Amino acid sequence: MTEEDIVDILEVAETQHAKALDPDERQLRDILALLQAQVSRLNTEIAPPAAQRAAALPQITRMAKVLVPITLSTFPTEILVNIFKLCIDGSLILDSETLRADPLLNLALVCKRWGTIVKGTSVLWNDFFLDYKRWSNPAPLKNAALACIGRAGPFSPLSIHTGQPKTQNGVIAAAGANADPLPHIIIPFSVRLKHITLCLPFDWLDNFLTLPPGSIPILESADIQLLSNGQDGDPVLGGTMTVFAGAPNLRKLTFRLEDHYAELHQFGHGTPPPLVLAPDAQLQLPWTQLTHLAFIDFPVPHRLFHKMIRQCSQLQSFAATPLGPIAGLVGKTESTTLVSLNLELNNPSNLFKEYTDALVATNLRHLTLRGSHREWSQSAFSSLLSRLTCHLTHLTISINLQRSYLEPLLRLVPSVEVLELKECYISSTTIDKVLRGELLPHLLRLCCIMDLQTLERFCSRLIKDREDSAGVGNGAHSGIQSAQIYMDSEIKKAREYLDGLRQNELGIEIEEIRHHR
Amino acid sequence: MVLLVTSDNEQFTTEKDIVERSVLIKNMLEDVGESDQPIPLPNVSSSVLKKVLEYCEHHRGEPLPTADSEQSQDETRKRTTDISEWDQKFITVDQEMLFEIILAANYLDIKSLLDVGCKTVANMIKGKTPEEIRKLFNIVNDFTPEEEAQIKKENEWAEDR
Repeated sequence: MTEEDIVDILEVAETQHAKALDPDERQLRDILALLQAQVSRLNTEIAPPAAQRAAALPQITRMAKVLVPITLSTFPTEILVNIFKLCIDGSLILDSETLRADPLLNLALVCKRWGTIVKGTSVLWNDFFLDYKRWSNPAPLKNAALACIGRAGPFSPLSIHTGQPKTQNGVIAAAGANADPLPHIIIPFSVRLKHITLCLPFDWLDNFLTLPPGSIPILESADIQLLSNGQDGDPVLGGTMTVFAGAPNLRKLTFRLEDHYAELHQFGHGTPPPLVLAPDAQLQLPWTQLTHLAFIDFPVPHRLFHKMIRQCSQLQSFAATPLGPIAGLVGKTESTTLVSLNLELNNPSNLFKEYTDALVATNLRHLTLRGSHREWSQSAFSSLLSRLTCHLTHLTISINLQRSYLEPLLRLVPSVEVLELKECYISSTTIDKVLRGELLPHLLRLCCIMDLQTLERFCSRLIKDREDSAGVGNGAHSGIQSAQIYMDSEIKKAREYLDGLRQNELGIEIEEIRHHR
Repeated sequence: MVLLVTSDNEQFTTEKDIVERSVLIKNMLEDVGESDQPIPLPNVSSSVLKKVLEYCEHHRGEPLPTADSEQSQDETRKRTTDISEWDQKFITVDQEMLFEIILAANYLDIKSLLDVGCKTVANMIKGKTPEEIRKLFNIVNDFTPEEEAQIKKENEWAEDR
């Protein structure tokens, strides 16, 4: 019987089957046996060449490596671009003292292929950082920026960032009006701006912040640091100012106050931070489109805080560090979109409570509470925490909290999966309770300060728990997966101890306290 | 369990949630559905796949990078030295293995591993002169002196225009 005969018989059988007629069963069984025999014979026939093939493959791999070694020059262009981008830390740094784009020039001079890639890849040129070191002569910087924009091509979206200019006690030294990059480099290209980070005197920024509708159509994020130029008083976002009306795609917006003010205030030099937002400020922002909003290092008035959360109907992340003074009562503020909240508690405890008692954030997952080095009682924020118990998964507390206060607080947030404690020590008793699942039964990652003794106890317990859960093998929750431990002494000993455990998968990393702060 | 076959014909059996850190394999498994058929990986050798699976196993359960996080400004501005302690130890291998891991991560579409590899190479390059980079990676200088001078000239912007 030929293969064609078999195909014919199968077709007849399938047709009969389709017509719900009984095919000749015996004939079909014969064909099946015949085919099975054929497959078996073929398997026997191909076994020796298949074995030869299997033996040859590793040799081919080895020989191919010798003949065509894998080198960086043979990498695909997209990987090289990725590496080059990382070589400039995302943004090309331009300063007025370096006369060339040094990091990219070094890459371009390696070989012709790299040179062509560097010159012709817009993403290496469309994101740059203007580092003002010589404000008296800003011309080279302007030329550098325009050269980058030229190389990025006519349609590439731009990300432009500026560093803080030289200041002396908050006053910009030797900065002439021609040093302002906004009229020469930024505003002329505003239609191509996608991300911007500006650290400039407020009176320079004023025009940019209030550009007319449609002038910055693709801007998605803006990080604005307000400086004082020392002549026109403090930066103010006041009155009924309407900011970023020209940016219909702006989603992420951060306002910061100059570091200088924040430092003076933090170290108690008696200099109050400037009143950037007055208690009655009626700041207008593109509320309905913002997903991330942050005010860093200047107080946000009580009423405005609540107004912002109410009006931003898509707000996912909000930061206010620090909170401002209380001015009258506000009604309940409800947000169903807010996922992340970052607050700084430099006010007296009762003020924080007044700020947050009116807040109902039913979808909040990440909460960060920071504060100065003064000690805080848990009653200040237990009211807020107790209303978040259902959903909170990430909790960061950067407050000098007494050990005895910590445990009652953690009991309020049983759903937390990631806990970061950055200023307070956690006791070994509390650690034991966490490891036993009595506290934070869903915890996957712990970041906290420990001494060597507590770390050793923590590791032994963690190893035992993992061995027990591997023994059970039921795939149940296996507790803490990773930890970042901050230590102020015996760091070397701690690292040696971890190395000695030979537990590659323990997932514990040690960091010096001064680094994490 | 998933069966993988490397370019040198070695077979690796691994758990689905480990190997699904590779977007390529994840998509293949979704297309094929439940099957005992081995997945051939003709571009990955056994020694490299062993390392890749070690990485995937360590990072199992971690969320995969999303399109949003890939584009976030914070992400693009992250410093290249920012490699976790475990990843740094993992990627401390000879240059050939490092390059093979990067190519495998690119082929298998494991973005986080590709990032670790690329960051490591970037850290090796940073601060070096073109000659030092050539020497480190055994790259031939195919420029004429005139071409080199031309590139340098094109990248100078000190003149006040």
